[in-house]
Amino acid sequence: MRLGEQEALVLRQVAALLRRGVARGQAIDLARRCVGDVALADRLARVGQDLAEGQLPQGAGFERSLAVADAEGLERRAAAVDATLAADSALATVRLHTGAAVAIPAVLILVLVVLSHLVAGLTPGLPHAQGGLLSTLLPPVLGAAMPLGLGLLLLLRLPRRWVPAARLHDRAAQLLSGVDGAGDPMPPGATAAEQAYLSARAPAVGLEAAAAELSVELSAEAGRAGDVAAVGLPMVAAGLVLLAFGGVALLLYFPVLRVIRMGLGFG
Amino acid sequence: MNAVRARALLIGHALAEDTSLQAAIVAVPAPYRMDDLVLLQAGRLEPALQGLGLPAADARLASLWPAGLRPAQRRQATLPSPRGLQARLFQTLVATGGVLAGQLFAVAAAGRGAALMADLAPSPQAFEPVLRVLEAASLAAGLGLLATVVSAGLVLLLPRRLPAWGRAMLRAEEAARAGALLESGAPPSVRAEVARDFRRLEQVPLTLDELTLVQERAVAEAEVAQERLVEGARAVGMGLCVLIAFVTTAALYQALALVQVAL
Repeated sequence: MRLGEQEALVLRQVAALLRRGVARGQAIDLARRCVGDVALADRLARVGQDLAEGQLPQGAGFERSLAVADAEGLERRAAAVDATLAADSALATVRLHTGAAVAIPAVLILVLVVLSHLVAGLTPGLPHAQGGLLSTLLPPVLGAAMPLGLGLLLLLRLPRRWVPAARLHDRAAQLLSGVDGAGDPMPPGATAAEQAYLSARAPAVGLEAAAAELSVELSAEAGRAGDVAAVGLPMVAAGLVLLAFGGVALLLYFPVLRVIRMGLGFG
Repeated sequence: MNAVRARALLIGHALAEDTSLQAAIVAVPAPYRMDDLVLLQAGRLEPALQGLGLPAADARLASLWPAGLRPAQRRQATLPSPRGLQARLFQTLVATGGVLAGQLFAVAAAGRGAALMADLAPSPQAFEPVLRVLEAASLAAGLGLLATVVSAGLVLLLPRRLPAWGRAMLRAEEAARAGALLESGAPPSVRAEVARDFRRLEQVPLTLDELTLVQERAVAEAEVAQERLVEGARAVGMGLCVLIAFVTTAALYQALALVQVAL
């Protein structure tokens, strides 16, 4: 289990214990005993110790929420952690698919180019054609190496802003953590409609409830957008690579054919 | 979230909480038709809500039982979107189309090669069978490509007409609406009125738990149907490509043997 998932679990456990009337310090201690990660258990122990000494953890992070937030606040914080993890997962999926969609055609083209070169080398009676094919071997190989590198780059560094599902999950996370004082409740990149929704609902139900409603909507939307992004971006990327190679192949096709015809005495 | 969705949600809240609908509509900074506001003030909720971008079924539900709109929206938000299915089917069709286009290109290139060989050969007529096979292969690949493009158009434009998946999703949506009415305490007469429009949910269960189960089961059926559709499209598409390649190779082999005999 990832650290974020463990933190969300602890937050939910403490929230459930607080709802049952268990004291905060005792709830944190009980949750600490269920944690497998030693570092996290140490952090929980420090929070418990701080609380016992009447001190509050600094900042607006996990420890601070544990020390001050009520049950609802803890659950909101856990939902924010879930949304952040979902954003990371959506981004990782799209990165993997897009990187593979660019790299795999490049590898296939590389194999085809090398194979065709080997076949041309084995074919007797095409001395000029062999020369022509040799001269055409280098650009496709270099051309295939470039998308291969691009694929690896996309796999590792595809920007978060290119993945709609990750952006939506991030906005949901920021909404949830923002209302607890961990930043601006209105996330950057929020659409005018989202801002209008929050502004219209906050006076009626309160900022926390309005943010929770909006984050649920954004997460549902992210779920729908995730499918499309995980399929659409790789398709576009692979399409561009194949289109580029198709264009190069078409450009080379007629000169190579002419070289072969000349080699065979059809000048 | 876009403006239409935000406005629909705010309308749902306003109807559920009995607050001003007009305030909900103008809260979203996006254009709307004054006609819809006039219809709203005249008490004609259904056409007004449709004009404001709500789905027809939701607008009808809201006109019969306004408090049911928000629970219906909440329940429908958990249903899978057609976009997921469209994306996966479209991916399969694009891959199939790509392979078929590659086959067309390869057959065209082979045709050029055969024409070159015919020029070299002492009797060019000997290559006729090869050229005929290549023509037939390009026709088959071209027809396959056309079928793929037509299928992609259908998937993009009419996802709800897809067999099994469309039926299951319709049942899930109807169960969501029926559940929303029960959840919001609609009287039996309103529930019966709404149920009259149902096409897939012939017998509406009477408890919320049963309706939730029906909805979940329909969603599960839709997911199974989605997998079957995607796998089926993959099998048919790739099967077609393999068949064309296999038949072309076998026919070419035979035609080349005839060429060898003729020469």
